[in-house]
Amino acid sequence: MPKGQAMGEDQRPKDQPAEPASPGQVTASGTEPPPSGRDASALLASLGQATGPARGTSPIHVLTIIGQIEGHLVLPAKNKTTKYEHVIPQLVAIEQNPAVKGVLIILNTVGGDIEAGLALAEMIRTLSKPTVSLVLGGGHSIGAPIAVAADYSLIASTASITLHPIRLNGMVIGVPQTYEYLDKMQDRVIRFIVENSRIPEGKLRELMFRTGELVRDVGTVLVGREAVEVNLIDEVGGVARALEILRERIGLGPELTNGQAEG
Amino acid sequence: MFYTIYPLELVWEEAAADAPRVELQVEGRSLVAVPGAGGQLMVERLLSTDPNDYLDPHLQPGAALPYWLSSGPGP
Repeated sequence: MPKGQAMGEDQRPKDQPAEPASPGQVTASGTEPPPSGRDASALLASLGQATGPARGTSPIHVLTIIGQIEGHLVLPAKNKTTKYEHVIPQLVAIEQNPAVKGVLIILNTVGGDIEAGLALAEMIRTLSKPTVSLVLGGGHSIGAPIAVAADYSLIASTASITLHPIRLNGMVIGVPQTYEYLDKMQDRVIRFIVENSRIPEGKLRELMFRTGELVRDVGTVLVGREAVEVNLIDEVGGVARALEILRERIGLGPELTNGQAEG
Repeated sequence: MFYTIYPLELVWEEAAADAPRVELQVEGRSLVAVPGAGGQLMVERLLSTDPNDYLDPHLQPGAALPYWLSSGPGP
C-alpha cells in the first residue's frame, strides 16, 4: 500500500469504521472511489469541519520558519524551504487581524537568502503585536537575525546558532569590488543583530570570524545556553515558557492557554 | 546571495524528478499538495499561522484530498 494511503488510514478518527465506507459516506483516507453524485459543497463542508475544532482564530498565531529561507531564486524542490511569498503576506494578515494578539515564531533553519531573511526579520521587528521567538534545532546564518527580531527570544537547550561570515563560491570577477560588496552585506546582518539583541558588536564580530572552531570554516557554533551567555538570545526555554511570556506581554491570563477568541 | 551553513553545491543540486507540488486553497486555508496514488492529491504541508488549523485531521500531512479537488484547478 502506498505510504500516503497508509497515513490516511492511521488518521481516521477512532469512531469511524475501518472497513470501506458506504457509498454516501465521506472519508479522508482516499482508498474509496469518489462517491458518485455527491454534492460538491457537502464534500467541502465535510473537509475540515467534521471533527476539527470550531473555526475561529486563535489569539496567538505561530509562524514556523524551516529549512532554507527562499527569496529571489526558487530552489530545487528537494530543499525544504520557507518562502517569502507565503510568509510576508501572513505577517501582514497577522498585523491587520484584530483577533490575533501575538505571534510565536518557531525557527529551525539552516539559513538562506540574505535579503529574504532580512525582509522577514524586519517584518517581525516592526509588527505592532507582541512577538516571541523560539529556536528549536537550529537557527543558523540568516536565522540569527530572525531569532533576535522578536521582542523576546528563546532557545531550546539543545538548539544551536551558527555565526559565520557570508561566503561566495564560483568564479569571482573583480575581487576587490566583490570583497567590498560582501563586507556591506555582512554589515547589514551584523547591524541588525546588534540593534535587536544585547550582544556588543565587537563580541559578535569576534564570534563570526573566529578560527579553529568550525572544521572547514570560520565562525562559532553556540549551543543553547552559550547563545544566552553572549547576550544574543534572551533565555533558554521551550514552548510552554515561550507561550507564557507571550501571554504575559499580550495581557492574556493563563486560563487562555489553549483558548480561542470568539469567532 | 546566500547565507547558509549548507554548502551551496548541495542546495543547488537537482534531485531526481519529483512529482510537482500544487498549492491550493481549501476553505480559505492554503495547502501544498502532491499527487499520490491514482493522481489523488495528498496534503504535504499546511500554510497557516493559525495553530487551530493544525488540529484538523483532514489537513494533516498525508491526508488525501477528495478526488473532485484533485482534478484540475480548484473551485
